[in-house]
Amino acid sequence: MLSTVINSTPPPAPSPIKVNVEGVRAWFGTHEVLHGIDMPVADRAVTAIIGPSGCGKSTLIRSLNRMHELSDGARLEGRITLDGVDIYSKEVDPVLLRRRVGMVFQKPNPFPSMSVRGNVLSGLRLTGHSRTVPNAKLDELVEKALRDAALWDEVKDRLDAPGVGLSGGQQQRLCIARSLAVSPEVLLMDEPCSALDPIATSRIEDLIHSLKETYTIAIVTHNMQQAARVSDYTAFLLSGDLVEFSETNRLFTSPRDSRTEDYITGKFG
Amino acid sequence: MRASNAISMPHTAQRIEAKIHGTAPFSERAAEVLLAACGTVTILTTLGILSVLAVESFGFLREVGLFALIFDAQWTPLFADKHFGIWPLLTGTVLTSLVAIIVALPLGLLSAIFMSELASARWRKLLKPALELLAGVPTIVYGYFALVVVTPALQAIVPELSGFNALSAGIVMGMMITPMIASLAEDALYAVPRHLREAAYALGAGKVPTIWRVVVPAAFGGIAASVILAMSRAVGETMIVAIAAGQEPRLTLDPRVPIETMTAYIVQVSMGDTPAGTLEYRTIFVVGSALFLMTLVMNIFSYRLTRRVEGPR
Amino acid sequence: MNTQQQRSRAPERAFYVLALAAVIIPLLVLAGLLYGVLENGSERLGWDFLTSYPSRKPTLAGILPGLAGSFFLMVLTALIALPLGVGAAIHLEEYGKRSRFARFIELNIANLAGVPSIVYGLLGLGLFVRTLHFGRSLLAGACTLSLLVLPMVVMVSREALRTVPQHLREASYALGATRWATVRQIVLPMAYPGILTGAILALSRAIGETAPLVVVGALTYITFVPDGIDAPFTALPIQIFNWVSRPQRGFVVDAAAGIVVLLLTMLVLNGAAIYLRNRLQQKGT
Repeated sequence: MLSTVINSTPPPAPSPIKVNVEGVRAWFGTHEVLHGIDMPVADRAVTAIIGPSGCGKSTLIRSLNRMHELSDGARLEGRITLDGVDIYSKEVDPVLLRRRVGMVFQKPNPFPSMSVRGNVLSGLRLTGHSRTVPNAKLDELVEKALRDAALWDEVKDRLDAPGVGLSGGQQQRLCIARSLAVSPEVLLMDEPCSALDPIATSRIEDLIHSLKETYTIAIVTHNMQQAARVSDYTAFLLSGDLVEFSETNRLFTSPRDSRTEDYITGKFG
Repeated sequence: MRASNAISMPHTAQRIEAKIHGTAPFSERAAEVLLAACGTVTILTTLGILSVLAVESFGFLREVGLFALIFDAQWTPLFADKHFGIWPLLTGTVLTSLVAIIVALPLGLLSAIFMSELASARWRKLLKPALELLAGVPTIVYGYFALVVVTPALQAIVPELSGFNALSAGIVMGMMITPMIASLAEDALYAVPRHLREAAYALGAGKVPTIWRVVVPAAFGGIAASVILAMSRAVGETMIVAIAAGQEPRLTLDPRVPIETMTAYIVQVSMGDTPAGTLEYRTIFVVGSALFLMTLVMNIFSYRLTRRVEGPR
Repeated sequence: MNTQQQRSRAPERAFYVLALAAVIIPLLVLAGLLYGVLENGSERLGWDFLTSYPSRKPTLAGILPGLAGSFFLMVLTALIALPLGVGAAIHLEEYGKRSRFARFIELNIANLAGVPSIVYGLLGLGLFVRTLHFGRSLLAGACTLSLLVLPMVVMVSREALRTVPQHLREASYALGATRWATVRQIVLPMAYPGILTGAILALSRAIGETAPLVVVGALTYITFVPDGIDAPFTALPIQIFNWVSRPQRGFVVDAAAGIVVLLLTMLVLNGAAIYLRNRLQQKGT
């Protein structure tokens, strides 16, 4: 109720908006996990989604690239638009959508049977695009993606080594490079650092800073300090409701909702 | 930093207005259809079996009639004086299978108890794959064994044991199906929750009474299912009985004399020169239908028993 | 009751021995069987046994047509059953997880796995030999065996596909790959060792099958090697069956020798399967 009051006064609309979530409800079977979310995702900015476990943040982010529907019994209502086009409309092919909206997962998952180079190019190979690109161009692509992911210097001498042979933080940056190589416009990150040590985490946070100049980023994190460090906008989810959405600075220094305040001061979580 | 994006793929410029509209490419659709077709082959196999059996059986029944099949006590379709009562073959099958189960049930159950309750991990690791070996031996080898080794050996002990008999074949079949009972019963015993055993121990019961009075009854459904499944396997077994049990259809429960099982009869006719379309040819399908129905019923029963065990949890 | 009393451990120990015996007896029987077969057959085993044709004289009889027939049967069966079985497994694991169609296929497979092998022979006789006019040929035999091993191939292939972790598929989808591209480039390469191993094991089972081949019309006395898929044929176990059925003592020896050849072949196949699995799994990592 309080949330609907807050939500009915439009949040400070970031502009321009790249992805817009309108009235989204989501279910697993009969269990409703999102109760009507309205949220903008700003273009070339970082939007963080925070909240205690089980609040629906993963479901929300996975609905942005239509990965949610791959789970058993998953259902979704509402509209999610990418550049104004409803991605859930019947003419939209989710496979094509996912080439514009990429995702990095919580546990780094490079393909074990491929080298570093192979992993970076895997997106192109899987979507059939590598056939039309000459080899020299492919090498350029590999280097660019790895540079953009701040991994080039560490792996440039072992591009043919197995992808799984890297450290955890390097593997995650490899996964980021892999996603970047297909040139998405939006990058979704589902708790990308929770399996990493603090040093690896901070490297990825630095990376996010540089990536946001080119890509729209939405990041789910259970680490509030990370959200404060890294994002421009923050959404606070609680039990499937969007309690508050605002510019990060505002949310963390003067939250409007008492639940937000309780969460960020650690009264629960 | 924005300029750096320009180096990327040649068709990125199109990509910005890129469609997300579209339908799956042809190769994707084709793959999906082909794979589903592969799955369909299994359905076609079942349909094939049902129709082949049904068509020929109906041909037979139209000529001979269900009455003769059920109410005649002799099976002599290949002789001049033809009788088509299926009972001699049925009793032959049941007799050999019974002998097999009488051998396999104690061996299998005790093996299962040994591996689940008594054996140390070391023994279990060694013995379990060894038992699997038993199941992997081709049945023709067992058939040879039954005829060439077991029958002569038993002839020294059992009075008037003829060269072809249900006893040798049954005993060897029992050896063959023991691993089935052992493996499935072990799973059932293993699944019995620890706290049941602990309740018995806490009352001061020893290991052996706990096994027989608590664990085995609790696993009864799974054990029964394994026995029925093993019986179904014995009923369907061909080579052991074709080689060692004989080719004389006989309505008897004496395991010392030659008999003929349903499966052995089918082999017998197949080895001969029976032309297609004749009544004699059709009899193997009638017998095959009866065989199929028997094993189907047993398999369903066994499945139901396992479901009932896992069901209310 | 006095807790100082020692419970007699004798019944427990006796039961342990009894149960152990129950496990060991079948194994001893198997060992005895193998030893007996080896002893009996060794006098006939040799190069000329492997390269001769059957004969009325037991000391001249050989197993060449059986070996050739089994070899060709296995090759044909593999060519038919593997694509079908792996295809069905991929459909069930990757495409059909929630559909009623897939449940129905699974039901069929579970049922078919319990059908006696001789019934497959009847199917082969009615469908392949007669209706489709393949005649009593290698092709009919191979088709029949393919259907027989199909449930097993599907089951082991599914197991192999399941070993591929779900998060790798997710990573592939998240890159915008289609399902088939994911299967072809990510899942199959990883599941390939398991599938291959399972296939070889299924074939080593098939090589010992006798009943369906008898019904389909494998010949028992054959003096040539099959020269085409439409040719009449025989197989190792059929040959053994024929010798065992003969009254002369000499043929028992031939049968034993044939059994040794059959078991050795199965041993080699199983060993190859295990070896391949280990090698391929190491290469994959």
